[in-house]
Amino acid sequence: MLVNEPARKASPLKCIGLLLLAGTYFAGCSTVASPALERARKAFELAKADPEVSTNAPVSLYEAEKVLRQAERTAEGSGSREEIDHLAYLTNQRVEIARATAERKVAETEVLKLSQERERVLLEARSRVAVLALQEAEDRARKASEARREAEAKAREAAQARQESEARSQEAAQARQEAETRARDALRARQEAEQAAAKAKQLEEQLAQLKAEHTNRGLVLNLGDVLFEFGKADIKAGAVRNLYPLVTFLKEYPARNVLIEGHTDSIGSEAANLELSQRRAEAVRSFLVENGVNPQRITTRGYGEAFPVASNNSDAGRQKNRRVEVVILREGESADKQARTR
Amino acid sequence: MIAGRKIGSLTLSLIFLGAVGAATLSGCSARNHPAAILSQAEIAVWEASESRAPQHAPLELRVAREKLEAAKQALKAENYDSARRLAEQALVDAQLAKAKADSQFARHNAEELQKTLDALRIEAERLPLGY
Repeated sequence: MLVNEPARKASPLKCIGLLLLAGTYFAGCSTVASPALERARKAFELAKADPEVSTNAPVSLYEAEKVLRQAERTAEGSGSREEIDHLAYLTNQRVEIARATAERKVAETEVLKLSQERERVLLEARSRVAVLALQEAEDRARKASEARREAEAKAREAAQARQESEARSQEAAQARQEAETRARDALRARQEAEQAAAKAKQLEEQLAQLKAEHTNRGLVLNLGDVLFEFGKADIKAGAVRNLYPLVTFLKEYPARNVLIEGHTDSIGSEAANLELSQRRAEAVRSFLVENGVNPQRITTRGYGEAFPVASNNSDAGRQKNRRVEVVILREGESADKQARTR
Repeated sequence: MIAGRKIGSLTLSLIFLGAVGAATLSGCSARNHPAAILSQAEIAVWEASESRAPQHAPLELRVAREKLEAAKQALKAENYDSARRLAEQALVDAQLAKAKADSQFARHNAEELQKTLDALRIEAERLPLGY
């Protein structure tokens, strides 16, 4: 259609003449067959039937239809093959335009939809990021308050620790006080013990001074026979001083009782010796009592010649036997138990 | 419709056509003279070349241009029917070139946007849910 166009003069009279001639020749006005027109019609029908095209490019489709009808009229009106084919070509192109327009519209709608979707995704992502940021902020706030609570707890712990250490230092002070008290008590006890020891030593010394002996009966002070004249039960004036130490001792140790025992040698009768020894013990007792010793502390016993300490066959022996023994009893002990047996 | 660039050639063409039209008015009835249709075709071709047709429908645009040239030649040779037909065809060809180019462009955009959206969706999925 493009290249071999015969060069014709467009004389109007000639055109009309030809047409009239054509018109009379084809009296029945039969349609010119044109495959191009058939194709164009088919293309149009297809496009019209396509909902995408008919919806999106109705105007373009109408333009195509217009030229198609023109082509058909030309065919029916026995127009030239050239013109029919030309109009068929135009129809085809217009159908293509309708299709392209429809495609464009569809694509543009798609673009719009996709843009909106993109916006939505971005918004959602942004809000998610915002949610995340919010969560992060919340986390940070929570951590901050946790840190604060921890700090408070630590402060409380520190205060508590301080209190405890104060209590402990109080306890320590108390313990120290107690220790001091105990030390003082211990010191006192030691002092008392020392005192007691000193006292005991003193006692020992005094007893040593008294010349008392530790025996199985207790402390025994042997006064010998210096106190009395022969056969008499009166204490000689000069010998009295032998008894003062005993008096002092008894006054110093008021808890101790004494047992005064009188003994004789074997000269004379047993009965007489017994009585004499008894009277002599009594004499010592009287002396002590006169000098302030409680009589209840003193028990007297006369044993006569029953318990010699030496042989009666010599003067020395007999002198030894003639004696008064003072048993200093242990503290609190009374003489009742002290019954002398052989 | 007439933009800055191609004003020179278009205006000249229109003047030419107008001159030709005026000169041949005496020879044939104005109704048959394809000057009008030729100017329409000229404008259509110009519009198409200003659109995305050179980029997206170059073949179709070339066809339109060639037919337009042929139409001008036919007019010069006083083949008025031929000139008219060629001009009419150049017109639709130019319009088709533009329509195809615009359609291509839109479809290309849609494809690109779909790709972008897919990539965006993947990125968005990577974000933790944050609930």
